[in-house]
Amino acid sequence: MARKKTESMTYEQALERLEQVVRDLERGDLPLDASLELFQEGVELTRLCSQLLDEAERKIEKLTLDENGRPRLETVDLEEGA
Amino acid sequence: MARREGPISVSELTRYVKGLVDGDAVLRRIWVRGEVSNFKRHYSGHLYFSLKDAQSSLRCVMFRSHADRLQFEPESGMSVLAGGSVSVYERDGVYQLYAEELQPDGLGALNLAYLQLKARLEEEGLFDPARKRPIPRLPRKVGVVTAMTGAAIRDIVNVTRRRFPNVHLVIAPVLVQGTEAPPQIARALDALTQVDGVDVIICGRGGGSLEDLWAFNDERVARAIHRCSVPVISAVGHETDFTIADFVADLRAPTPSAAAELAVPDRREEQLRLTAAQARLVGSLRRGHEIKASRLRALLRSPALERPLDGVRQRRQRVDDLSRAMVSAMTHRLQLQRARRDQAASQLQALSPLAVLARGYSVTRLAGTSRVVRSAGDAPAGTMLDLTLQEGELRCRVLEAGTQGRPRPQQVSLADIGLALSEREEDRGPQED
Repeated sequence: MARKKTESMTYEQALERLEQVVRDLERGDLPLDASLELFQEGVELTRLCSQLLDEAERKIEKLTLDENGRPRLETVDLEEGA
Repeated sequence: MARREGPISVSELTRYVKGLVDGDAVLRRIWVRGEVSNFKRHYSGHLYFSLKDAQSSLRCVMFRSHADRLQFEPESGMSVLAGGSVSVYERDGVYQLYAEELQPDGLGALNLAYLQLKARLEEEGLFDPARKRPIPRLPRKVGVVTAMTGAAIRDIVNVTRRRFPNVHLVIAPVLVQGTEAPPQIARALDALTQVDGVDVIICGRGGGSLEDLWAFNDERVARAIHRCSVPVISAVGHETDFTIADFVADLRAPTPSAAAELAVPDRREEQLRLTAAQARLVGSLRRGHEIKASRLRALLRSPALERPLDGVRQRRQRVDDLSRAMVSAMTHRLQLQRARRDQAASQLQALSPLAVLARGYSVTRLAGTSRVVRSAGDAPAGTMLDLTLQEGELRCRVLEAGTQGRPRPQQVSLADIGLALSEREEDRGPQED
């Protein structure tokens, strides 16, 4: 698999790649430098996945259309018990 | 069939009629309303019955593969809508409906319209499983098309918050029933696809009667879901109600809560997965490193690396051996030579005039000269002679002349003898070793 630039990955791409990296490393037949490089990639992917999990901020927005039919967003409060 | 002069056989006629019936487009896919009579379930699983109304009766058969999918138990006297194709059963020479679908006819026109739209959209490929898109594992934002009030939105908010506390929801509020609902739902789907980061859309409402859910059987809604650029999860009504929207959606959830669970991952599970992957990552690297390190240690213990000078030593020893052999060969040779020399020396010794002297002879010379006196005639009385003995010399005077003729003088240099002696000493020389 061609190595995709880590930053531009989606969560599932990163997770899938991370699992591949782990499998490759666990096979244990890689040269040392390759395995170190792979490990480095794995660490980056883990960081990216964690970051993506953390990044979102709980937010509930309401989408309405203005008179020209363009979408408009406003934050609403719809927490539990509403 | 070409015109024939004479009569034709029954089976020929039947086949001809069957050909006509099978070739008719209307009869190939048709819905018939009627009342079930003579209902029989054969042990094979096939259903045999008739549909009748006030004037007519129609023989029907529903094969097991379709009968197994029925959501209700048909019975005689029940009003139903039967969908399928009409063909001829050759053995009996009768036409009959080969039913594939059966619906209770409680809802009349509404239900029929539903079935017709469903058939049309299915024909068009809107339900094609091949075009269903996977739901992203971690959507950046989740779009929701539903009513702003009601159980559905509350369930979605609560479930998403429980599973993934920092989820970002974008709600497009719509009416979910009434004539305004379908265009609103369609517009909301279109609008949500323009919101950056919306990776999945939940579209639905809580349960209700078939009339309540009708907006989700609207063709406009179906087409909006179909053209939506992100995956859509339908969430209409309860477990058993299937709407057109359910068929078109990329994924059908039986309820809004279930849709919310399908749309967002459980954050703790994801975190655990990540942690596990990380542990395996570190573990496998460490293990790999350990294997390599132990291989390295084994290598370091190998003779070549542990005693790198071994080869040199081996060679040095060989040189030593050779040199020793060489010396010993030389020594041997020298000893041999020395023995030969010693032998030669002792032979020489035996021939030495000094040896003669040792036996008591002396050498007589005319005094002051080196001329050896060999004949008495050479030394008349009064001649002074030098006598060389084994040890020392004597100077003597001839008292009486001898009788021999005049001797011839001969030169023998004592110095030569001395030299010979000293050479002999030198030959003994310093020993090897």
